[in-house]
Amino acid sequence: MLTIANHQFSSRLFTGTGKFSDQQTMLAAIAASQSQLVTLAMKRINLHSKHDDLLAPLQSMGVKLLPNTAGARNAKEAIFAAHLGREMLATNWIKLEIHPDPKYLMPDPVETLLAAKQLCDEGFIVLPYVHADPVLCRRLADVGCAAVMPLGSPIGSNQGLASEPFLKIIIEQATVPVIIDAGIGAPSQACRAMEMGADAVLVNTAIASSAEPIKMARCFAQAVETGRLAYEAGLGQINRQAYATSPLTGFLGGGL
Amino acid sequence: MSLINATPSITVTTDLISLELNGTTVMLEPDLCLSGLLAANNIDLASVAIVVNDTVIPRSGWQHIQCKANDRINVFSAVAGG
Repeated sequence: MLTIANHQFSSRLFTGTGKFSDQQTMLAAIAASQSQLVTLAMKRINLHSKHDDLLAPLQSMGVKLLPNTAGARNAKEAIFAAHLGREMLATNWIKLEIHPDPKYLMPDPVETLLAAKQLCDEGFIVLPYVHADPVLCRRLADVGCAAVMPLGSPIGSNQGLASEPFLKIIIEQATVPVIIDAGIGAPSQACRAMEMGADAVLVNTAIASSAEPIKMARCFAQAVETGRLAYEAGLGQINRQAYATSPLTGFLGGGL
Repeated sequence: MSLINATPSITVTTDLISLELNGTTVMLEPDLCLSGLLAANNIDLASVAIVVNDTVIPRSGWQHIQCKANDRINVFSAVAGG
């Protein structure tokens, strides 16, 4: 069972709510994923257009809602967004993400650390989205973050675990849960992340942009569960040369 | 024979105040609290956050804080995101 800030999750697959073709598909995909933590963004209401109520159906599913600070370009804006999320959703959990660069959406490490410290000091449960930087992840844990969310590759890129060597170091050094976020494009990549010892993965685009999101959500659920089981069972050692799995002596060559 | 209402109609004139709500100028009666402002604009209180002049207002204050002339009020809601 995964525990983050005294909250227990039986599923290690977290999901985003963005990019789905319609709300019904999104809700069905989340249900199929068995995710218990879903992310949301925040936006100023357009008074002149009617919008679907996103919250009520999610709340009725019983999933924990995690507002994010997407759109924030610096620590000040992210802190503001965290306060918004707290009043909107009655939660002190916040996915802290500050990415001022619109092309690659690379998270700003300096602003993220500044915001994380202040938000932790204010009592928020902070889950920061960061580059796969082992030093930064340690610093974020030191200031009180409840977990770290290093990227596999750029948001929405489906490039998978491009940062794998650094993710391994982060996992090795971790004192808080490590959630691999962003870039995971296939169930096999989610499985790999879990085999490496990640505590959870967050997947959005790979599910939402699939031709069959509900089926893909189920695939990710199975992959994450399998990867976690494999991690717990312990992977075999990787060797440069062959080591026989069958006896090689005393058969065709004689010696019967 | 037509009936004539002998009672003259009384029009109560109140000085309306002007403020900005999500970028739109609105006119409203003074003394309206934030909850009242949202209700008047058919905004569900359950799933929003209110910002007055760049300050996020705690939910506990929505019924007590009154709208003032020239306030810049912004209302945010949750949208799909990753």
